Amino acid sequence: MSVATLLALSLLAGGLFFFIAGTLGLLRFPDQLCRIHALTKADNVGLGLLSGSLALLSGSWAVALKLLLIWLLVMAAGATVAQLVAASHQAGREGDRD
Amino acid sequence: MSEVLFIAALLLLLTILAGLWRVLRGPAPADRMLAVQLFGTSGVGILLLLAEAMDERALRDVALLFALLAVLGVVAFVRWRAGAAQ
Amino acid sequence: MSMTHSLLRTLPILLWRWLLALLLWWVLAEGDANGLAFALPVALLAALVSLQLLRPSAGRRWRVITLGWLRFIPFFLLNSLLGGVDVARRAFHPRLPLALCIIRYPLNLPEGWPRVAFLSTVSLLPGTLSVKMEGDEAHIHLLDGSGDPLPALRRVERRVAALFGTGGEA
Repeated sequence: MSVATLLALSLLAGGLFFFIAGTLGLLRFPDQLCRIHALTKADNVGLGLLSGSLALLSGSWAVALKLLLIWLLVMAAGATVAQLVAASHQAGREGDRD
Repeated sequence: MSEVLFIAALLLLLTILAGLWRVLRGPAPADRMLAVQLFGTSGVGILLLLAEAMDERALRDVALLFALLAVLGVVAFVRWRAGAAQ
Repeated sequence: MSMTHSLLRTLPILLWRWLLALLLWWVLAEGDANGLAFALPVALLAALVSLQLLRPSAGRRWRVITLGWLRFIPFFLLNSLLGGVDVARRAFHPRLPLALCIIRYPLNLPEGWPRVAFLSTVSLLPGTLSVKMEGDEAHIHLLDGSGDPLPALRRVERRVAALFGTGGEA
């Protein structure tokens, strides 16, 4: 097995670990805001490692750049989503208090 | 190698199923929206894994579209909530 | 400013953007050069439209901004990795070590993109999540309120300011 394949496999394992951690946080954390922390941060890292692994396996620069582009999009979406859901959650709670 | 990728995709599918439990249970609408975000990220991951495993490059384009649509979905949710609050 | 003068100034920018659009095409087509005859004019069209939508501005300090991006990218990648590790550690920990609180952080960054970039970056860093802006104050949710988050937040603010060349010292 080549060094690149070994590296790809370890990146893949790392990526899966973070996906599982994110889901675990989503299930275990006590309130909405914490769950947002868990999901956005862990899943972004998970997808990043996964993309890195697949980029190595594909052996093509164009595919590697495309995976990078997809990851950046998901990450930008994740950061925006985290903030929007947090703001809407907070607004909802303040609305309930009135 | 493609067996490994299929197993990885299956694992991601399991995380989605676990997230589904959060959707059903809620309790807040924000929880449900978060689970949708989880589907987005894991879904993109699954598509990318399958694209490589089955050598099907069109799946990577689908993943790209998923990434774009996830944003639109959440923005729609937040605007709807904002409208409902008024 | 005369016609030819402004044309001379815009032409290199147009060529750059055309090249960037072609690169994007190449990436999306995964290196397949079959559609190149189609890609060339479409990319040129996209570059022309971009000149209208995103006008090149003369006064900006490009070198400073490029340097800002070069410093920001490794900073961002390393810290979002740490953010993922931190949250994974907490999620797997049997007793869920969390000490939640929300703080208000006064922002010196100008409104618009710099603030959006700050809030988004904060959300991906270890233990912090931006909730909303109220006036010039960012409300930030902390997973662990026992430490002092201010040095980290100031560092993010400085790095983001460098991205836009606003130099808004925090």
